[in-house]
Amino acid sequence: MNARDFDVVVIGAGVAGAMVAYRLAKSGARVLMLEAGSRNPSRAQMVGAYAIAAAKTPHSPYVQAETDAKVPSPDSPTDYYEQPPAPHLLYKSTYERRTGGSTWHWLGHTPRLLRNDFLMRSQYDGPNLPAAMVDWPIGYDDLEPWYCEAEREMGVAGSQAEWDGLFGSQRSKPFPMSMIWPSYSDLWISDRINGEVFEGAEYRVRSTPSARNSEIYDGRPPCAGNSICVPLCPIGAKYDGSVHVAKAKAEGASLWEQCVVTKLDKDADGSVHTVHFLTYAGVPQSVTAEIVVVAAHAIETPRLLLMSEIANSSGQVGRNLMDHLSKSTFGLAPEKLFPFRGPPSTSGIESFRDGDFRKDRAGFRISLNNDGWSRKNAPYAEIIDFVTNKQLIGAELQSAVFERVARQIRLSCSVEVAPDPDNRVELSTMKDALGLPRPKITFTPPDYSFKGLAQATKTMADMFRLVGATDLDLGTDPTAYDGAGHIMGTCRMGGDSKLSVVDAQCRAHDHKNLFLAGASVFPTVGSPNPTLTLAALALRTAEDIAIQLGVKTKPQRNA
Amino acid sequence: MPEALSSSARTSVFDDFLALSRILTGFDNLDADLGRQYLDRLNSSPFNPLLSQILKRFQGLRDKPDVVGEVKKQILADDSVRPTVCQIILLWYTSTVQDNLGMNPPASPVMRFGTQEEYFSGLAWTIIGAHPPGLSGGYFGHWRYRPDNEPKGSK
Repeated sequence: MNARDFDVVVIGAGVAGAMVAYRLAKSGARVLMLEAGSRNPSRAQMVGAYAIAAAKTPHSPYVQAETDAKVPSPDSPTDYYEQPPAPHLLYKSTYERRTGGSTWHWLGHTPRLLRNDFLMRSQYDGPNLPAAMVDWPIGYDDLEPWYCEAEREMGVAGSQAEWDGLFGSQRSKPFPMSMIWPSYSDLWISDRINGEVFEGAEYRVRSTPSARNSEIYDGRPPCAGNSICVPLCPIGAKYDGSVHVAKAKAEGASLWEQCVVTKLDKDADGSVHTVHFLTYAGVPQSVTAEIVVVAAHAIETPRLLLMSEIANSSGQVGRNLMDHLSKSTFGLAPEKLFPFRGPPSTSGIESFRDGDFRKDRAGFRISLNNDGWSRKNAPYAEIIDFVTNKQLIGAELQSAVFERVARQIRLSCSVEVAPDPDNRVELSTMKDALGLPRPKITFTPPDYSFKGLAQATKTMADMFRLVGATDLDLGTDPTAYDGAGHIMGTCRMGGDSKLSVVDAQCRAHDHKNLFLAGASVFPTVGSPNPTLTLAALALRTAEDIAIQLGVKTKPQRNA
Repeated sequence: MPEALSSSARTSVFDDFLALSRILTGFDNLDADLGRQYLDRLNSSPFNPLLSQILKRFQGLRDKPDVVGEVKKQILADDSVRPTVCQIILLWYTSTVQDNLGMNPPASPVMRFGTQEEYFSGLAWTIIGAHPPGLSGGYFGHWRYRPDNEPKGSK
């Protein structure tokens, strides 16, 4: 074993890679994290950059000339990916190539998959269930202890009373912290819709579990409601992957930044030990390890596997790319609800995530949001409208802006996307600055998901009706959707090596010492935000790697 | 009603700009340093020529008893200068300059922010009982309640 440079090389220092690195380093393994990006700029610098950025996009605080030139972080559907031209639909979610990964600009929500999300084929088989909808090789009960562990590691705030037993999904431990408090707007809406029924399901507003501190936890402060979780928590109250990068380093793991992995070599016996990478100067280097973990999310992971021509005897690498279809709807409440305060979303409705309807259409979550109509350019648009069209100034203008903006409600949905092997990541003929093929993406949401999106829109319209909202904007194009930032699939987990890329331990079927960590292994996705699930899987995989390495996992604190 | 300026101060463009800004924004206590920065930004923007016209007109209005009404009638009602008036307000409210404001047909807004200090000093957030995104200055859970800085007269 010691002939290798390291016991484990982890490619990608995001939340999944960092958790694997941390657990294995703590177990005594010699671990290296290779990261394409870097840890710069600092958080304080990034808050300043956000303040003066013309467009407050997810990448706006992270702009850094050298990194962006060498390893671009996509900030739109077409600035990095190659995608087919219109009228073909687009894959709209992006990611951050940076130490700590895309959790820097995630919202922080951590709902779990439901019991039936692991059982789509066996529960909902029928003529209308998309062919690629499969059961996971593991079930909710297999992952449940790891969900608890991930919640402890990340620091999740939530309400046990509200979430234990949701659609038969029990929780064996309480959340590490009490819930993030609902907003004034959440409570006002709850009072008007809780207990009402829409097409057989009862509305119940729940506080959304979040990896966001409601008290001092793990040396980080409680949330102060700075309202910009996306793209950046100014104070570190929201968890991001850099937390576990630091923990891994404290346990002795090495971190090499600005190292862009280009190829993994397959040995004659099918094992993978040699990792080739480029520095930003274009200097080729390599490192060897007993175990290799690719944790570069569901686009860069298949990209690397395809560049290396490994792990793909099934032909499934890159296939079944998924996201959640997101859509925002807008209304004006009959009274002031005071948005633009607190985390962007603190509550949601889970009632529509599961049921027999999933034989025919996708399930979905609904989020209640605290950011008014900022996605329609509030309050800038209102100021311009009132001055230029109503000719208001001074106290009259102040009053008009307050009266309108303080009543704004945004509801949004997150709709399950069914797997489809034709939705995929391939290698483009277009190259990046280091001469590597850029990702070529083909993505058309299945009708199953568009039916779910239509139902979600109807549901949000009903919610607006119940609260007496006016000036509704529900959108007009039934195929219009936003990316949710939930990049999933492309290296699906399964029991059959002919149909899947990794086994139930996230080990490549084709290479006994190659593991994948992250949402790339999801065979199906349900409707919850994926980060907690991928973190739970990463922790579970770390234990399997430790067993394979022959190192003993040390007892965890408070476990 | 904006506070009176001394006769000597009235002669300067800056004082006219600050006095007009008080009327347009509805805030009496505008920060003079920010005002100088905003005037500089306007002077180096496409709004510069019309800003001079507006300030000249304002000189003849500022001592009128109903100065707010006069500004609305003599300046804001003029289609040719209204985008520039709007731009002055946008600066104080949001710290942005939108070079394509008032274009016909309307264009998608292209916003330019200034300094971090300017961004975090935007008055729009106070008007709606909120805070600049990125700097709440509040405690955990404050969003559960009506705002501490809820504007007067709110129901």
